[in-house]
Amino acid sequence: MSKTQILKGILEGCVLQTISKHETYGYQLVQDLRFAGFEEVSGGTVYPILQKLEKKGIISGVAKLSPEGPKRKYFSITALGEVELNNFKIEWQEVNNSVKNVFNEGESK
Amino acid sequence: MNTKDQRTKEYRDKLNEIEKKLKGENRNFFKDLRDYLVTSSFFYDEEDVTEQTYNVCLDLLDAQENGQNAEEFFGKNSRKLADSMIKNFKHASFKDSLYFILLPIGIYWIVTFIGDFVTPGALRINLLEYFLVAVLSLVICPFIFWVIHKSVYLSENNPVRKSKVIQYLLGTIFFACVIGLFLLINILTPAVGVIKLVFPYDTLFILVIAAIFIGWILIKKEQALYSIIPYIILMLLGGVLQRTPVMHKLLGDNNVKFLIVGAVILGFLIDVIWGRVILKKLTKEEK
Repeated sequence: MSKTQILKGILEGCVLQTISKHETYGYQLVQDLRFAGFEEVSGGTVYPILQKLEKKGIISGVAKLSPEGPKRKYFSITALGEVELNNFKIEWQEVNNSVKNVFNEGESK
Repeated sequence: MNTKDQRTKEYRDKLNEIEKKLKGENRNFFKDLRDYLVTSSFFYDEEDVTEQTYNVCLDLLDAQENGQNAEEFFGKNSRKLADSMIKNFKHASFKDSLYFILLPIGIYWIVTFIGDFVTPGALRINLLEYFLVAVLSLVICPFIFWVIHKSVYLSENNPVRKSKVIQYLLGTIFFACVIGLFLLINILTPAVGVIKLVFPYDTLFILVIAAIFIGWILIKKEQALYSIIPYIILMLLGGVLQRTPVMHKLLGDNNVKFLIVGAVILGFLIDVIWGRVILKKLTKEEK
């Protein structure tokens, strides 16, 4: 299984977590995710996620002046987004624990 | 222009400015992406499509300024990115969709109306002909968008993408076929449900329709349609001349015919020449 396939399910949560820390825009978000270790993440992966999250009301986008000049869309997390993020954290913890259990079991045999 | 249209225009203007700052491969990458997104947006919210495209362009500019190229930032498959974005675009409102459907139908109907008005005798409106014209114009606009959309990401080796001559030839053949179809409808449609309007009701009717149409073009500032105004006015004058017995007596039947033909040709020439000037101006603004 490739890293990209594993990433598919969790990237949305990571995008949400990054946005929850500070409002951000497309380019900055991709850079933050790459800096965090998701080096293969590209604008091509992140844009559709941002659109989907905004459509669902999980994040909201507001056009603001950027330090460089032109207005651009900054995303911030909504109240619904906070709930979704908490759910993701719980689910991720459960998956992570299960994966750890499976691998620890494998190693101890 | 309403607030939504105004916002869309502002995004489009800014997008044009920023796009100029892109260099080489980045510019080509973005041009394809933009064409692909815009031509897919026939039934999507224009403001949403333009705003998303604008933000993509800003991000690409950031990437360029930080030494990355478009492929490094967006990934190699730009078509996949575009398709994913399209899936998430807001759909156009019912009002906007209706506008895009009715606009081409309205234009073709007006042109057909006025064409009928110039012919001698009472004004005959063949309802079946108008219905067929509406169906054809309804099919053609989305079809043109679809063809351009599908051709954006043709392989680099595809002759259509490589050769401007082939593109021009295909375009010419296509538009010749479209004009041919409209002519065939005009010639071959049987007289089903014909409404006959005699003088002066035909003249009053056409004048009201033309005044509404011209008023709408001017109020909405539809620049792309400005060139059709002199054509409509000259055709109307021709029709009025045709229907005014005093003018026939004063000028003679043959002179009236020449005047009408002259008015139609002059109107057509103004439309073609002015239309080209407007199109060039609008294309220049887009670049």
